[in-house]
Amino acid sequence: MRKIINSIIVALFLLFWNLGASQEIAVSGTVFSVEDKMPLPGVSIVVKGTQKGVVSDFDGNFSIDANHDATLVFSYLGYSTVEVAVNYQKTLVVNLNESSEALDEVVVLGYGAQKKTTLTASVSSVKGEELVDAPVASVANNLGGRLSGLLATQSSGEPGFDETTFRVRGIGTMGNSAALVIIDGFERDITSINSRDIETVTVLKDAASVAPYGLKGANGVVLITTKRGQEGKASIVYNGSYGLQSPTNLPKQVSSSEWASLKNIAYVNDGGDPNSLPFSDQDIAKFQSGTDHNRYPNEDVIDLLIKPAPITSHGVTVTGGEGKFKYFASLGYLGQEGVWGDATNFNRYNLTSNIDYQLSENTKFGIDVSASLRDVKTPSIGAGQILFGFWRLNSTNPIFFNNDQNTPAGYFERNPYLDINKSGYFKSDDYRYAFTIRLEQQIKSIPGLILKANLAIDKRDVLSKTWQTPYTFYQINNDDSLSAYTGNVQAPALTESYGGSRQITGQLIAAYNNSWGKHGLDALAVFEPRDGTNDPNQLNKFLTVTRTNFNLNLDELSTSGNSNPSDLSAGGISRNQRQLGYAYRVTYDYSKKYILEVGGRYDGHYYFAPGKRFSFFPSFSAAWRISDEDFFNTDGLINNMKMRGSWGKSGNLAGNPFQYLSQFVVRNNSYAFNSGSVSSVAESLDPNRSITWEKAIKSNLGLEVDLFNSGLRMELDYFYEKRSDMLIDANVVIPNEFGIGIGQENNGVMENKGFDLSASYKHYFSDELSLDVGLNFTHAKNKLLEIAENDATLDDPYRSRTGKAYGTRFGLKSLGYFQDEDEIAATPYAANLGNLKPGDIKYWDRNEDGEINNLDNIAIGKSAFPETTFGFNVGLKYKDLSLTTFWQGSLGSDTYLGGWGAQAFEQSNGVVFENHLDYWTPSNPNSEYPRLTSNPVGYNYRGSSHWIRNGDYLRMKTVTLGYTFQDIPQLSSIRFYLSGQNLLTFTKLKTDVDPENPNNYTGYWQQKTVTFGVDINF
Amino acid sequence: MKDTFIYMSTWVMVAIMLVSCSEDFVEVQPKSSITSDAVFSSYTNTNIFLNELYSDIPVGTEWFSEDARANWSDDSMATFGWTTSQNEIARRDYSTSNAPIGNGTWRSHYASIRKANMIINNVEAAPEGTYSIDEKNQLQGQAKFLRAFFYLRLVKYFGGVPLIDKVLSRDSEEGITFPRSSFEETIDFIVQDCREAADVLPEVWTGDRSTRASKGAALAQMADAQLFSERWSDCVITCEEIFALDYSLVDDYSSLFRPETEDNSEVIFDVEFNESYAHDNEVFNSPRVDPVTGVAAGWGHLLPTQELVDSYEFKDGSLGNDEDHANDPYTNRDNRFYATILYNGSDWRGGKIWTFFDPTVQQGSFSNSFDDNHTHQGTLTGYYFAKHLNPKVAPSETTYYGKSVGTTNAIVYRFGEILLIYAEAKNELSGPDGTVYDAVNQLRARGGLQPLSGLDQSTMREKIRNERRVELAFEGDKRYWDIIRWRIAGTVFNKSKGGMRIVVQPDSSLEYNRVDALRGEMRFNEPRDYLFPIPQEAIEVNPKLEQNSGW
Repeated sequence: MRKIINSIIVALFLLFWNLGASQEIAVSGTVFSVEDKMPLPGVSIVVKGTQKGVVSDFDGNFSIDANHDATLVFSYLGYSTVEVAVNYQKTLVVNLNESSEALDEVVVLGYGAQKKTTLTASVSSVKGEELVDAPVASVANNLGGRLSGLLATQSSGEPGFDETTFRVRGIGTMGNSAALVIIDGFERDITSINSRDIETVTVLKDAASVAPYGLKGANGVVLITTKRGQEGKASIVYNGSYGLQSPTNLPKQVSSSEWASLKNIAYVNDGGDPNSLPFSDQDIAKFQSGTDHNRYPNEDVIDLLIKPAPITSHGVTVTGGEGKFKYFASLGYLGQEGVWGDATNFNRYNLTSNIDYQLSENTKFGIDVSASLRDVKTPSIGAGQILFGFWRLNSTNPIFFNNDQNTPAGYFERNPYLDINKSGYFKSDDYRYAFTIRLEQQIKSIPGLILKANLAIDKRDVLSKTWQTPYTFYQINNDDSLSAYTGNVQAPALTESYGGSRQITGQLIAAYNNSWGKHGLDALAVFEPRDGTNDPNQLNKFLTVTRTNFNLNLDELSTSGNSNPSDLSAGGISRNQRQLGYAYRVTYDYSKKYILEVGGRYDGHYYFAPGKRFSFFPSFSAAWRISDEDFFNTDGLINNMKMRGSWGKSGNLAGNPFQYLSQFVVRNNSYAFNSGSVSSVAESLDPNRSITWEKAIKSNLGLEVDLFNSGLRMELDYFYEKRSDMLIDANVVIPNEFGIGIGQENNGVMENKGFDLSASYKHYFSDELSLDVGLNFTHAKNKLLEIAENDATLDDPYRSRTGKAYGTRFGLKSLGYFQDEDEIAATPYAANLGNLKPGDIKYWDRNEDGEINNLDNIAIGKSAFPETTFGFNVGLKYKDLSLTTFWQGSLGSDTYLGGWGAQAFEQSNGVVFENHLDYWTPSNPNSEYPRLTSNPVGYNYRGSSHWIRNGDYLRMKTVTLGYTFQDIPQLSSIRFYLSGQNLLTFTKLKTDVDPENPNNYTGYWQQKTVTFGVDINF
Repeated sequence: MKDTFIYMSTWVMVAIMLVSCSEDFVEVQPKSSITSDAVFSSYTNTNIFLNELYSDIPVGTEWFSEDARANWSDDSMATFGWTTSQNEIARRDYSTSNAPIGNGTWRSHYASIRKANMIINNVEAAPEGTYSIDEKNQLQGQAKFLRAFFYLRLVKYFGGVPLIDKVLSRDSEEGITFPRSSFEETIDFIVQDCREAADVLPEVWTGDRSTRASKGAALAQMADAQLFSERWSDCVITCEEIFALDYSLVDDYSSLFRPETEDNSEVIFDVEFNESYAHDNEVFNSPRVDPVTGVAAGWGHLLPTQELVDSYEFKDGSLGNDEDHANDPYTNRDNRFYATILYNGSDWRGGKIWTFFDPTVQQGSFSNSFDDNHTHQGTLTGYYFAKHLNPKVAPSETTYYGKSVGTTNAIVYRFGEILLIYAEAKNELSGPDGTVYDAVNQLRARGGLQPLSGLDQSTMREKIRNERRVELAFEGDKRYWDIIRWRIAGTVFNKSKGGMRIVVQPDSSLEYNRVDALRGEMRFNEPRDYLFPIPQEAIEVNPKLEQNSGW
C-alpha cells in the first residue's frame, strides 16, 4: 500500500512540475447570435485542450491569449458550440447558432464525459432540477421511474431508515444485484447527499458504459455529479419547504364489539361450546355502549397514536466565479418527524463546498469538501416491534385507563404508547466526510493530452446510543382500582457503539482527445487503487459497550451505572478491504458519423482465492449516425437518428469475502462448565478454494431518434445479458448429513433480457403556454439457466427452479375452499390431517400420494420485484405558472399476504382488520379469507397460491403547482409551490398494504406528503 | 522535447511500480477468524472447539423455553394455542416437509456429529507430541460420548440413520451420500461409542464435575440406549457397572433442582447454568403473579396436567386419583408432588398460589387464577410448574424483558434414573426380584411412600412406569420417549389433557371439577407416528435415504 501511495504522490508532483512557457498572441473579438444579430454576453471561450478561458462581456467582446496554432472553443447555453482556429488572426467575429440541445448535450460517463452525439453506449440521465420539487428525505427515493432502466426499491418509510436499493434493468443475478453508485467519480453513498446539490444523475446500462467499472459494473452504475461553480456573478438561492406526512394506507381494524362477536364465531368454528361463548351478549352490548371504558373499551390504536408528521427543509446555495476562481457552496437541512410524534425524528445537515482554481494556463486544481450529519432518533423499541404491539392489542383492550395518558394500560406487559414515548431511545449520529483533491494538467508538448490525479478520503463515523428505561403501566384490579407495574426493563440500560469506516481512493487518469481532419480520437486510461471498505455503507470497525442495571436514570456511561462486572459487556469487529483496477476507453470516430469504441478494466479484489482475484473485463461498441449521411434528409420528420450497439464483459462482486479459506469463528459465552461460561470456536463453512468473479456478458442494441424538429426525442434499447460463474449456494446438492454449509460456487448461469424506452416531447402552444411530456419504460425478464438444484426438483417440471424467473414463488396450489364435510371426506389427504372443516383451503395433492407436502409445490407466483416499471411526467407552463405531475408504476410482480395481513386473530388474540370480514361462511363461499378460527396457525397459512396477490400499481408520485414572481426589487425571483407526493394510487390490492412497500403490518409505513415551499433567488 | 521525454519515462516507471505490486496489494487476511491448523494445534485449542460441540446440547430451549418439550407428553401443556406442542405435536398436524422434528433437526444433528468426527479424526491424526495420551483420551472420549448423544437423539426421532464416522469432504472418492443403517446397527454404533468413551474417560472430573462427560455419563447414556432398544440384559449389566461407581441418592428430592445443592452425589451428567450462562425458565415458566407482591412475574407457560397430578400417590397408600381425596386432593401426597407442581394453596416465594375461580368477581388482567377464556394468561389446568424454578429468584427479575436469570442445571442423567432403568430392565428380563424392589423402593422412600412388595411382573411394570413418570417429570423429554418406547401413545395421545377447575362456592367452600384443559383432542396415528418422517428435503439431496413407513 505504501508503495502505491508513494507512486500517487510522485505523480501528483509530476503534474505540477510540467509547467512550461509558450509563444502566445492576444486574440480579441466579438460574439454574435445568428438569429437576431445581437452580441452575446457570457459566452465561454476556451483555448481548446487547455483549462484557459474567458467569458464575453456585456457587449459580446472578449480577449484571450492563445498560441497562433491554437483553436478557440465558443460555447453558450442553448447555442451550438463553435470551434475557431486562431491561425495568426488577432481579431475574430464569431456567430453562434441557436441549437437543438440534442447535439450539444454532454453525457457524464465513467471517469469522464462524452458528447451525446458520439456516444456508443446506453445511458440515461436526468437533471438535478427535475428532482428538487419533491421534498423527500432521500434523493434515492425520488429517482424511481424517472430514468429508463433504473429501478429504485425503498425498504421503509421510516425517517432515517428509508434506504433505497437501485437496480439497473431488473435483476441479473441471484447474488448482490444492487447497482454501483458513484458520486463525483468515487464510490460513495447516496443517502447523505442533498438533492439541491445534484447537477445530473446518469445511469450506465450497457457493457460499453460500465466497462471502466470492471468488477462492479455488471449491475449497472448510477453516476451522480454534483454542482460546481460557474463563471459569473455570485448567485445566492434560498429554498425552504414545510410539509405534512401521513401513511399512504393505514390498516383499519374492526370495533371491539365486532371483534368480540367474531371471536365468538371463531370459538364455535373451533369446536367450542356455543353455550359458553367467550363473550356474552351483555359483554358485546357493553362494548357497543362504551360506558365502561376500563373494562369494555372500543379503542383504535391508530386513531389514538398516529398523527400527521411534519417535514421541513431549508437550503442555501452560493455559486459563482471570476477569473481563475470558481466556487460552489451549499448548506442543507432536512427535519422529519415520525407518525407517532417526535419520539421518532430525523435531521440531516449537509455542507458541501467545492473550489476550482486555475493554477496556471495548463494546470487546474480543485478541492471538494463535503460533510453530512444524519441524526436519527427513535424509541428504544424498533418500529417493527411497536407495530407488533399495535396489532397484538386488539380493540377490546384499553390503551389508557380512564382515557388518561397518565394511566396507560399494560397488554402483555407492554403498551404501544409507552413503547413509543417512555421506553427510552435509540440515537444515531452518522457523520460522513468526503475530501477530494483534483489536479488536472494539460501536457503542452502533446496537444490533447490531459493528465489528472485525484485523491479522495472518505470517512464515516457512526455513534449510536440505545437507552432503555423502565416504564410504568397499570392493571385494573378486581375492585376496579388500578395498580402500577414496571415494564420494558427493570432498570435502565445503556448501549453505546461506534462504527467507523474510511476509504482512500487514488485515481491517475490520462485523457487524450484530438482530431485529424475527419478522424477523431478520444482515449482514457485510469489507474485506481482503493483501500478501506469497498461498500461505503459497510463499517470496517465496530465497537460496542453495554452497561445494564443503572442506579440512576441518567443516560451517561461513566456516572450513573453500577460497577457490577456482570452488568458490563463490550465487543467489536474490524475488517479491511482492497481493490485495484486499470481502466481504459478509446473512441475513434470518422466524421462523427461512424464511431468505434473499446473499453474495459483489469480489476483485482481481495474477496477471492489467490490467483483468482484479477480479471479482465473488456467491451466493444459502435455507433452510426444515420442522419449525418448525405442520403438522409434532416428537414423531414426525422431530424436525428443514430444506431448503436455494444458487447462486453463485466463483473459483479457477490457473496462474502474469504470463502476460499477454512475459517473458524470465535463465539463468546457459548457454554458453561461447572462455573462461569466458556468461549468456543465454530467452523463457518467448507471452503471453495477456487472461488472467483461472477461474470456478465452484456449486449445492447439501441436506436435514438429525434422527430418534429427535435420536439419529440426517443431512445429505444434492447438488451440481453448472461451471467455466468454466478455465485450460488450449492448446499441444496450437498446431503444434509455433510454437516456444514459449503462456500458458494461459481456454477450459476442466468439470463436477463428486455428493453427500455424513453421519450420526451416538448410543445410550445404559444410564447406563454408550453407542454412538456416525458416517458420512460423498462421491461426486464430474467431466467435461471443453471443453478444448483438436486435431481429431485430438477427432474420435476413443477418444482424445478431452473428455467424459471429468479424470485418465482413456489408453494401449494389452492383449489379454493372445502365447501362442505362431504368434500373433505372425499379428499384423501384430509383424513391424515383430521382437523379440517368447511371453509379451510383445499390444496392440490399434485402427486396424489394422499399427503400435502413440498412435493406438491408448484410455481404459484411471480417475484415481488416487478418485470416492468414505468414513469411519466407531464408538465404545463403558462406564463409564470407551472403544473407538473410525475407518475410511476410497475407491472408483473406478486405480493404475498402473510402474518397479520392474512390472519384474523393472529397470535391468538390479535386484531381483526376490516378486510378480514370477508371470511368464509356457507353463504359466502368465495370469500377472500378462510373460515374464522381463534387460533390461526398451520394448515390454512401454508405457502399457497391462495395468498398471492397481483402487485401492479400506478401511482401519482408527485404533483407540483408553482408560481414564479419575476423582477422583484432586490431579488431576481421568488417561486412558491405546493406539492404532493404519493397522493393517488391505483392498485388491485384490496388489503391495507402499500403496493410499493407491502410490509404495512410489520414495517413503518410508506408516506404521502403535502408540502408548501419557496425558492428565492437573490 | 527533453522535458517530454523525462516526463513520459517517469510515468512509465510509476506504471511499472504500480503493476508490479498489484497482487500483493489485494492480499488481505480476515481479521475475525482463525484457521483449522490453529484449532487443532494443542490440547487447549482443541478443547475450545470441543466447547462448541458441548454447546450444541439443546437443553436450554428444550427444557426451559416457552414451549418446553415436557409439553409434548401428557404431563403438561402450554398456555398458547400456537405452540408446537399444542399444534403439530398434539394434533400430528405435519407432513414430511414441515414436521417439528424435520430438516432443521436433521441438519443440526449431523452438524454436531461432524464436529465430533473432526475432534476424533484430527486428534488421531495429530503429529506426535501434540497431545499426551491422557489428553487424547479425554478429547476423543468426550467427542465419542457427544457423537453418541446426537445419534441417540436421531435414532429416537427417526429410527436407523446414516452412520457418518468421518469428516465428509466434497472430493472424497467414496462419495458423500450414505444410506440409512438399521435401528439395531445405529444402536450398536451408539453403544460402541459409549463403551469406548467409558473406557477412557475419568470417573470424576475435578473442577468441572458432572458438567463434563465422565465414565458414568457414558455408561448412563449407554444404558439409556439399551433401554430404548429393549436390550434388557445388556442394560442390566451397564447399570450394575454404574452401581460400582461412586453415585448415590441424595436425601432431599427437591434439593436436586436447586442451584445451591445441584452439585451432588446423585448427578451423573448435567448441563450447567449460572449467572453468566443462564436460561429463561424463570421468565417463561414461573407462575404469572408473585403471590406476595402481586407483581407480574413469569408467563406460566408450562402447565402440569391433571393426569400428571393423578399419578402422584398419597402417602396413605391410595392412588393419586382416589375418590376419597376428591375434595382435598393436595394433602399428604408423594413429596415429589410438592417439589414439582404448584397447586391452589401452594406456598410459593413467601406467599401462596391461588388458582381457584371466583364466578362473582371478574378476573383482572393479572392473576394466577383459572383462566376460562384465556383472557389473562392465568393457568388453564389449575396448576403451575415448580420443579426447576428457584424459589429464591426475585419475582421482579422474571419478567420477559429482564435478562435471563435461570441458573438451575438441567440434569440429563442422575442416579435416581439409573435405579429406574435397572428396575425396568431387570423386571422385563426376569421379573421382580429383590434388586428390582430395592431400586424402586429407594425412590419411593424418598417420596415418603410405602414400599412395594409382592407384585407380579406386569403389575411391577405398571408401578415402575408410574414411578418413572413422577420421579422424572419435566426432566426434559423423558416422559415423551417413555410413551413412545412403551408403545402406549395410541392410548395416551388420542385424547385431551385435563385440568382442575376449582370454583369458589357462595359459602366459600371449594368445588373441584375435572375439566378438559386442552379443548381439542390430541391425535396419534399408530404405528406411523412412533417415528418422525425422514425430512423430505434430506431425501431430495440424498435419494439413498428411505422414508419411514406410513409416510
